[in-house]
Amino acid sequence: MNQVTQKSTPDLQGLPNITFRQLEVFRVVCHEGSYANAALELRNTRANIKRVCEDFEKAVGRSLFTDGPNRILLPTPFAQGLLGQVSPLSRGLRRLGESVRALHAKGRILRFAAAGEFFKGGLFTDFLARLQITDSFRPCFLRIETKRFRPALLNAECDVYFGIGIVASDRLDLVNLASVPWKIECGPAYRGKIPTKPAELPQGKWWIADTGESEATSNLLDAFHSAGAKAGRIFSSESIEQPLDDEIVFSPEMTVRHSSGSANTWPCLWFSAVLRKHHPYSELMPRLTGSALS
Amino acid sequence: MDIELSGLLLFRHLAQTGSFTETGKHWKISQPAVSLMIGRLESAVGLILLERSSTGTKLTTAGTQFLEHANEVCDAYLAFTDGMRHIGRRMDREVLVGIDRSWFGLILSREFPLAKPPAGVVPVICDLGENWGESLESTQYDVVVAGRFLRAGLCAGIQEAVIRVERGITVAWNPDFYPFDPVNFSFPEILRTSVLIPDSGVVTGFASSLRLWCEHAYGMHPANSVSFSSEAEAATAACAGLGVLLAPGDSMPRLDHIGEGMTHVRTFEFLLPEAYTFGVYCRSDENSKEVLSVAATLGKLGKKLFA
Repeated sequence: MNQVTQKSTPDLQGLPNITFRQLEVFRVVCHEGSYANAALELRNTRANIKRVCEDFEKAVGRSLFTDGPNRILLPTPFAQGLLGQVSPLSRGLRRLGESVRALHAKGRILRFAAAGEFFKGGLFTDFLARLQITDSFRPCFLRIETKRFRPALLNAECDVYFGIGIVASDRLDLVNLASVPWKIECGPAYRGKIPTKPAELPQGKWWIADTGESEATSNLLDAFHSAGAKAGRIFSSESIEQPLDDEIVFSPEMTVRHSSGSANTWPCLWFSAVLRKHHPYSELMPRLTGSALS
Repeated sequence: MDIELSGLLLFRHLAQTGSFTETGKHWKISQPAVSLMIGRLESAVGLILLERSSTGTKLTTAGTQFLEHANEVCDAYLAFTDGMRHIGRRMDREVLVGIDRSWFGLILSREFPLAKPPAGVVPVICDLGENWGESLESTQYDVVVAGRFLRAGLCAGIQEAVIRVERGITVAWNPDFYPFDPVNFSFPEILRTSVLIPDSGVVTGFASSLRLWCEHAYGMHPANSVSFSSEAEAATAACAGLGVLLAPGDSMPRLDHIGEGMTHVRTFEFLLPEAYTFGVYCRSDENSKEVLSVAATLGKLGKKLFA
């Protein structure tokens, strides 16, 4: 006894989750009649090919192959019908692939961004001179202030943001490129006996300038304290309390070129590159890491 | 480049609407899921396709170039899935029947399950979308039962079995609110009011033909036009004095008690002798016995009920 089924809408939204690779593998397996031969043709392993076919079967919701004589894989009637439908889609996908390759060959636009002060030179330009990118990218530069670099990266307004004292976060990858040298200013009283390590800092008479994200600066203050310094403070241009003339002030020196040889005894801020996690340009992360100074 | 084809459809929709939320709503997935799939697509092709901002999403230069070819793939993918479902239905001996929201359609979808379907066939009834002619040709449906105004919906690839033909159109209003004279009726007068029209899911081509007709014959559009998802809803609104009902063919007998108290006029009966046609449609090259037998059963049942 057969029944009439009622559906509220045709199931148009539940499209099968098919991939380009599944279609290509399906076509070759149908043609070759064996997973092993298809693996040879596609320069892959039999297990991988079989897995892709199984995924495709799951996506279309029906079995595609049956075992024939002499261990030949026979397409089911459903698979035979499907094979007739695959060609226009494969053709379109191949053309799409070619256009993507052409866009890659032409060089993709890579948008670097940094806050205004970085464009003066020093750390930023020094790093750019080291970075090898012009072979696959066309770089351009944007000026974005530190307070809005996160939305700018997440909204794909820029690809890589350069800054100092930046804290890692969930959806962004951080690459530390170089340590930032300190400019240590101290009053005339210290002439000739400038402290050389954290433990020598006079208690309560030293300050760190708040230049990056405030979380990074307070982490840095903790690092100074762990290294033996006592009772330091953070100040910014808006702070009510400001360092006195006879107190020591640490502020990052961004405009000097980095000298990799100088051993630094002070905990320091990092000059970092930040980019979206899983950025579409997969080459970007290794290039940035490769250009970082250890 | 191993791209997910559903990601391409999302990308195309996003490019058209500029909104992740709207795209999610259309494809019935959450907005973060759209973001995730677009992110996966961008990673797969190694290109930045979209720039997001608080005012909307726009295509990057690479995105614009990518979309040109993605369009072709999306169309091929939709055709592929239609074809795939069609093959699946053939194997399961399922016949997908799309029925419109007209009075005839509602009765048929109620009566058809009670009638004995052809042996071994599993008819599946579903709602009919817009442009059902194209959907039928692209195998989204196997049989369509629908009404059309004039020649709307017809195309070379589909064949029709007429169940009922009605002349002209019906204009109905509540005399407490509108002073039109049913004896010396002048059609352009009603265009100064709100017209209440059943939408294309009730009768295909009615609203659009009417608009064209008003523009060509009278050089004007109705002052206001409201679409309804059924003739009865439009009539209820007209009864409440919200406007004048315009319906295809002979609408009053279908409205039953809703039409009581309304004044109506049948007009354009001689100008449009085949204004409203209700029929059963299937593809011209259809060779499945299951589909043809279901179409025949529906046609026979329709004739019995409405002819």
